[in-house]
Amino acid sequence: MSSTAQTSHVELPGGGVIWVVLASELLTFGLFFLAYAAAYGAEPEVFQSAQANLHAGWGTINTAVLLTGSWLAARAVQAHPAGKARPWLAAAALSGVAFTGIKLFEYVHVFELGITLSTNTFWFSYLFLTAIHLLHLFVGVGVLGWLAATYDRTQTDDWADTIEAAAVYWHMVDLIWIVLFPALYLVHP
Amino acid sequence: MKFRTQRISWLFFATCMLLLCLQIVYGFIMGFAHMGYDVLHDYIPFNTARATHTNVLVVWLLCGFMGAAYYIVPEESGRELWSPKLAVVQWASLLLVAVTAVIGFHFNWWEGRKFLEIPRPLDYLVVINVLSFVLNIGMTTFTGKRYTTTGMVLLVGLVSAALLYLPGMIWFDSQVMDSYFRWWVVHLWVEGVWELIMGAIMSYLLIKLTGVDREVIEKWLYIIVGLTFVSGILGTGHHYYWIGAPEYWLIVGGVFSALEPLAFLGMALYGVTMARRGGRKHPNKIAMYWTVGCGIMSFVGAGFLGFAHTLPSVNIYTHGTLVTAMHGHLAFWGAYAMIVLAIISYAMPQMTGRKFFDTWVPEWAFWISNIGMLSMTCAFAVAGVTQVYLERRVGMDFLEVQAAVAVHFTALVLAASLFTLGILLFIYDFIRYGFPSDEAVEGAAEPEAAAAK
Repeated sequence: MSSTAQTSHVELPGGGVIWVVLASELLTFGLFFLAYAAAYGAEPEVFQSAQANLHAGWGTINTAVLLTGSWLAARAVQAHPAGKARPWLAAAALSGVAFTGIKLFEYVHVFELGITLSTNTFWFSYLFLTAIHLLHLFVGVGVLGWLAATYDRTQTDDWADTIEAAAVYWHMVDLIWIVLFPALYLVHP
Repeated sequence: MKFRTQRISWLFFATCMLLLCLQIVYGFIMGFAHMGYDVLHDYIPFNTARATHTNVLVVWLLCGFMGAAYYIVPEESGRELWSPKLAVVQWASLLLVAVTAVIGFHFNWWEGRKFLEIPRPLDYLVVINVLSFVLNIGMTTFTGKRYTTTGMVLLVGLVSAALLYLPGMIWFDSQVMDSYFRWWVVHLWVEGVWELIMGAIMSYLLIKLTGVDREVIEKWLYIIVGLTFVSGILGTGHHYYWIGAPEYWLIVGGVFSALEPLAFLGMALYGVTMARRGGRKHPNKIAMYWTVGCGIMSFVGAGFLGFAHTLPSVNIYTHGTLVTAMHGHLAFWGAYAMIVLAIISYAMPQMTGRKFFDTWVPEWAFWISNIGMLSMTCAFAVAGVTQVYLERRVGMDFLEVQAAVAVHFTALVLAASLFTLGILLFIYDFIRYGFPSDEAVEGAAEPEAAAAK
């Protein structure tokens, strides 16, 4: 943590850099959530009739999968000082794989309805935001999987920051989904 | 300099100076044409001058990046350049292609297609040229003694820039599709991978000039790379608003391009904080001026002025007007011209062994050219806003509006004269340094290099 102490006076979990990444990601998604709210307000009927084609059940299952994944990542951070993070890291990565499977199943259903990015503002928002979220999830799965594969139980000090940073990132993926899920599937003002 | 072959960059830097002069001449031709003195119209019509002005800009900046790479990569990878002969051949062929293209423009040998006007046969030569450059730099990196973040970001930036030239060479029958992929080249260069090249050159200069730990400087380079990709890739959408691409680009382009200033804000903070933190006072103060100045001016020109007209609700009025010229001038100057002039200012004393950096000439060159360019930006801004108001709000005819704003081009030409004076001082300084010298090899050992031994 010595280099972190030089760049920032507050010791942030995972080091300062991951929090700058987090801030810029949340800012980006935040702008899209505002745009989504404005677009919903402009054409509520279009949004509500389109939303009826989504199954909240699949979204709920995926929310549970991601929340479990976040718990697994947190367990990895806790287990790390004893050199026992590997199974938790692998399980967290697998939660991302499960999420992807369910998401692809949902996409197939949507594409079978003949829907594209240009169908209407709701379907653009659904496809674009979930796809961007999924890309972020892929990055998380890659990092967690790589950490699990190369985990060295003897190097606990050197790895602490990296594992914390991965967990922080994985929580962010979860957090974005927790806003995305109700906004896309549940809200019918 | 540490390695003898780093001197090859001098050829590229000298070419930069020549092409910059040429670019300025064509800028003046257009400035006078706007004032109503289009006296060269029969020989150099406006479209020819415009194509020459922008294409020469791109070539001299690329030339500067290549020169920077030939200077930085040997040092970062700890070995001589893989093939100095290939580098010289590559330089000569690049110059040949550039000269052919410029002469061709004057005989109507061009493609249209704004910013990528050079004819298709020359495109293939550019590809071969850039491949040989990438080969040389890549081999130097991969057979080197060490990999550094700065070196790798520079290499990734240069290779991506080479790959991104290709979408501009695909043939489409549709104007919309052609424009769509043309922006992959133009936008993903200047608002994407060129920012990596700029970040890497800045990082190298800050390591050399401030004495701050490489580890700290390179960590912040990662953040800049991250911010560039988060905003820049989908920010391409701000070119798609009114070209016939799907409507969703209004929101995608709007949101992501609005975030693009963050990367440039990062560059500005990067330069300023590292300069303040630096405990060591490097004697080459003027290279530090250009480095920190580049961070700040890129934020003002590319970040702030870009943001000023990137939102669709604003851009629907300003698209394709002189407002774009306002943003374009300060953005290219602040971000890319200044970083090339920064590396030249740093490398010249190192390559020649002559330490002229504490005379008045380079300092005045810095201030006069920057004040000149800022004044030009103001002149473009006034002309641009007037044009938007009269043409897009009041609905006046295009040519009537051009006559109405002609007066602002007098101000532009005056400001450009000041700018040119600054550039001439810079070039005078460049010439004064003379040729690279063998005596300069290892002679000017940097504290960082000395500490590494």
